[in-house]
This record gives sequence, C-alpha cells and structure tokens, in this order.
Amino acid sequence: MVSTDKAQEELHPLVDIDRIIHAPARLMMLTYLYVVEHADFVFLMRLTDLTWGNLSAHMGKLEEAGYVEVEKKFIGKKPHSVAKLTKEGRAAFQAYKTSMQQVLNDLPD
Amino acid sequence: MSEKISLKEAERKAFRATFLDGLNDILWGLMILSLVLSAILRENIQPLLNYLPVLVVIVIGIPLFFAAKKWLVIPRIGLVKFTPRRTRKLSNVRWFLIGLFVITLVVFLLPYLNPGAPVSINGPYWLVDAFFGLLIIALFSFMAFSLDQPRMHLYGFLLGLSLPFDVVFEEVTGLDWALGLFVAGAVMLGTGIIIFARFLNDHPIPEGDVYDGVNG
Repeated sequence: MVSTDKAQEELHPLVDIDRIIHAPARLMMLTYLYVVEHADFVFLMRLTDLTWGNLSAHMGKLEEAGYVEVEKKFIGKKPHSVAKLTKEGRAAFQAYKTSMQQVLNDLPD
Repeated sequence: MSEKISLKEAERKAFRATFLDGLNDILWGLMILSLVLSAILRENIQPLLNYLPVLVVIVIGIPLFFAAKKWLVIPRIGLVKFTPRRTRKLSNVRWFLIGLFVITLVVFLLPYLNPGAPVSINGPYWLVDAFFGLLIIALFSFMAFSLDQPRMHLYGFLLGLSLPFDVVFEEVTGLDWALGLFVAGAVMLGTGIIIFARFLNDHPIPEGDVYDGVNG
C-alpha cells in the first residue's frame, strides 16, 4: 500500500500547476503558438477545432495573463488578428511542460 | 493528461496544414502533362516551339497557383509564420529545386543552342533514363522528407519509373507516347483536384475575424 504522504508528495507539483495553461483548449492554443512565430485566429481555429467564440474567449484569458499578445490589423477591409507568445508566455509554457513531464515521469507504472 | 506534450508533432501538424489544399499537386501534374504534350508535338512542329505547352503552364499556371493560394486557400486555412529553423528547411528545398531546374533547362537546351556540342551519351538509352529516373526518385524523396509530404514518395516513384518505362515501351511497340510520364502527371493532377475539392468543402471561410480582446 502506498503511503498517503508519499502519494501527496508525488502529486504536490500538480497543486501549483499553472491553471491558465492547464485548461485543454488553452494548452492546445499555447502548444501551437509555441512552435511557430505567430499565427492568425483562422489558423489556430483550424488546428485546434475550437469554435470562433471559444477561441476568442480563451485568447482573452491568455492575453489577460500576459502570455499572448494579439495584434489587430486589417487586410483590405477585413479585420485580422494575429497572436504570438510573449516572453512571459514562452517561459510559463516551458515551466508548465517541465512540471508536467516531471510529475508523469515520477509516477509509478 | 497522460500523454506527453509532443511539440515536434504539433509543429509538424501545423506545417502539414499549409499543404492541405492540393494546389502543389495540381501544378506539378500540369507541368508533367505539358511535358508529355511537348514530347508529342516534337514530331510535328519546329524544335523549341514544341515547348509552348510548358511555357503556357509557367506563364498562366504559376500566377493562377498564387492567386488561388491568396484568394481561396489562405482565407480558409489562415496565416502562420514558422520559426527560422522550419523556414530555413523550406528555403533549402526552394534553392535546391531552382538549381535543379536551371541544370535541367541547360541540359535540354544545349543540343539546340549548339548542335555540334559533344553531349551524346553512348549506351542503351534506357540506362540513361534509368539514371535520371533514380535522380528524380531521390529528389522527390528529399522533398517528401523536407516538406513532410509522404505522397511525394509516390510521385517520385511514378515519375522516376516513367522515364525508363517510356524508352522500353517505345523500343517494344514503336510508339513514342510518353505513356509512363502521362500516367504520372495524370495521377498527380487527379490527386490534386480531389484534394482541392475536398479542401474547399471541408474548410468553409469562417464568418469573421472580430476579436474584441480582453475586455470584449
């Protein structure tokens, strides 16, 4: 039987996990933004399969946290929004990735 | 949350998404079929003039390709800028293809520019075509790897095998039809058209891009 203290010790890093990043939709968005320089909303929508409303709502939370910056411009008369990770966002994502991998690696089979 | 975060796979998925439309396949197919037409016309009209179909594809097809990318594809798939590492890979492929195109052009035009030039190759023609066929297979495999486009392997094999096949076919039947090349071009064009039609159907243009930001 695994001791309760040992189990709690192994799961403790999860308590401190960044909940802004931890939501599945935002995690997907940040993952794709992490591997590119920048991408517009249409591109992110296609890759993540999120609806427009969902994407906008989550992007708002990420922008509020300072992880993403959104540049709004026009192509012709059509509004166009392009998102990219900020330095803080990139650092936060790297920290999240490291914590999750550590937690998963430390768990027994 | 039991899967590890695979950033490499995410990047590959993002990159592959930019080739979903099938337009490259259509352009390649048209180029190959124009070469087939040029080969057929070679018997009937003056040298160099038989390359008119190729010229038409270059002059009309390539601008149409970019116009379709701009007006049909990008509004549906969006815009992305990749990291310098990925952009460098694309750039290397482009320069490689441009270099190969220039070399091919010179090799094709040299006999016309200087009929006395010592460019004849002694030996069975199918061997020469087999060698160029292998080069084409290698080239397309390189592109398949660099651009993450597995179906380029199939195109490479079809094109590469078509060269020696056409020589042997002509020797056996006496017919100079460039049949192998025609099949390769038709497969590429057909595949491209199907992928493009499916792409337009599966990716309607989103209604709008009005993001009101944090306070919206």
